[in-house]
Amino acid sequence: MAVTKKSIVKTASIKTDALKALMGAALALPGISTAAEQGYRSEDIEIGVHHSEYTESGDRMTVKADQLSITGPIAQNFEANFSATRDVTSGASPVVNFLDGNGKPQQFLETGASIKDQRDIYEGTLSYYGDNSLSSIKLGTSEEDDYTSDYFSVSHSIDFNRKLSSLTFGYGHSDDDVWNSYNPSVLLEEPSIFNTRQKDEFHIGFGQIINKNTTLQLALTYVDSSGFLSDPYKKSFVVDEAIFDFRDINIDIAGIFRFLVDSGAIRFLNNSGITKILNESPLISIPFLSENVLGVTKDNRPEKREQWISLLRMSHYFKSTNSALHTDYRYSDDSWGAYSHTLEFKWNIGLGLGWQVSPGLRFYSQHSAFFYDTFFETIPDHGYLSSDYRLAGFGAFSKKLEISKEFGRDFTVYLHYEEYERQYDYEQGGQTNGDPLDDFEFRTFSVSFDVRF
Amino acid sequence: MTRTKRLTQIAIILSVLASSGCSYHKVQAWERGNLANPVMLRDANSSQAILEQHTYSAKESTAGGYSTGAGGCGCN
Repeated sequence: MAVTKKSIVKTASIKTDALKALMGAALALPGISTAAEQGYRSEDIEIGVHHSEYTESGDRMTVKADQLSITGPIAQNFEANFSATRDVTSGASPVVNFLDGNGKPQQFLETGASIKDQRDIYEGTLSYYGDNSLSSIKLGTSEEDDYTSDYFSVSHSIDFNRKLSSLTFGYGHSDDDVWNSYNPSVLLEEPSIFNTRQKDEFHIGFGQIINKNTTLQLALTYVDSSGFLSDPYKKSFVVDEAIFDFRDINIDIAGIFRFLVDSGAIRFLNNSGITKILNESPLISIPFLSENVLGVTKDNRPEKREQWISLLRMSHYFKSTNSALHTDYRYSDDSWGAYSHTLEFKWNIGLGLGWQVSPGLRFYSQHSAFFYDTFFETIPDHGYLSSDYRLAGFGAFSKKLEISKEFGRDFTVYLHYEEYERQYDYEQGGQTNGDPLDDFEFRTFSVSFDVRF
Repeated sequence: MTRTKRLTQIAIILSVLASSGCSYHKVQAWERGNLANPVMLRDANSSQAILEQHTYSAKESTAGGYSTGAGGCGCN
């Protein structure tokens, strides 16, 4: 059969599209540039604008985030991406769990100060597109009132086996400074202590086209964190450290603090300057008193953490509905004993005329860290303790919906909504340390625009 | 990681593979049209995907594993 020029061009085009899909599947991972995620170098300049709002239940935290991203080709084989993100957090976060009159722990939020924090992130990525490979280097910095992070990563992907398979290697490193934004006018706050932490990540991923409708990815990641890994704001209630076992004398510490907050007494102490005078007085140390009278003890975690994560991701195309089901299973284990399972489904349905609807479900189950408890009778022999709700045993269920509309090839709009529900008893495989007092929900809504020209 | 956990992990991975109903064969160039369909790109909205993972990392203890190169945060 004679091979015409037209058929060669068509075959080459299909092959290029398939490579895009494979590379896209292998690289469709957060943290890399938009164009790299699509698996090929676009000749267009692409500008992305993103806004999202996060709201937590119980009048806790709200976060508003904005991002601007610019991606463009450079010379023959390079591509550059720059993004700037600002998120602003306000509200309150759990600090410590006090015991009530029945000896049950009760969550206690900020002690008169609500969080107001701004995070600015700047990232730049340079990518090189080889014949059968993609290499990227990323530099980034993140600044908050009480935290800075400088980081970089490199990754290299190659495709082989007639472009049916791909292999990705990645390495990332971050250097962080952490402290607490001390305000002497706020009760139970402590003077700032500057600390550092470091993180090294090693990542290897394998992508495979299984058949004409299915792709598969397997990724393994090792994360080594060291330094000050505690939270400078979190405290634990330790019965033995308090001057009395308040349960024996029927004193409801949680109720007393709740009354002091609700009646405005703590606000009065803070606003009148009395707290500031007490905090700055050389004769009195509120942190010492709070630990030795009330049993409020600093969060103290191991200075090293090793984490191993495996990710299995499968995508299958259904011709009858012009849709694709993306299934992820992720398992994480670490030296803190906080291992987790994550199962996620995302169903991308193409409706024609540029419309796409993507419902999604995510389930997460986490076992508690070995040094976590809602409160402690005594400081454990190993010396580590934390009552940070994020280290507890729990499960979480998310429902998501994304709708997108592409206008020609120049302009795309995305709307995204998620409801997340954390429940103590959603944990699978046996309940570990935790309590329903840490249950909460959040909702996020976001809108994004991508423009190409 | 205990031996039981590792076996569970492997069993789940094999179950997912077995239940997918897919069989491997060398897909030719002209058979790859479906793979290039836009719906096969899991996260066309990469900003959202990054933000999502950041949110989970702020509220859960075991985030990560999707890529390398994200900075830390003092998230509460």
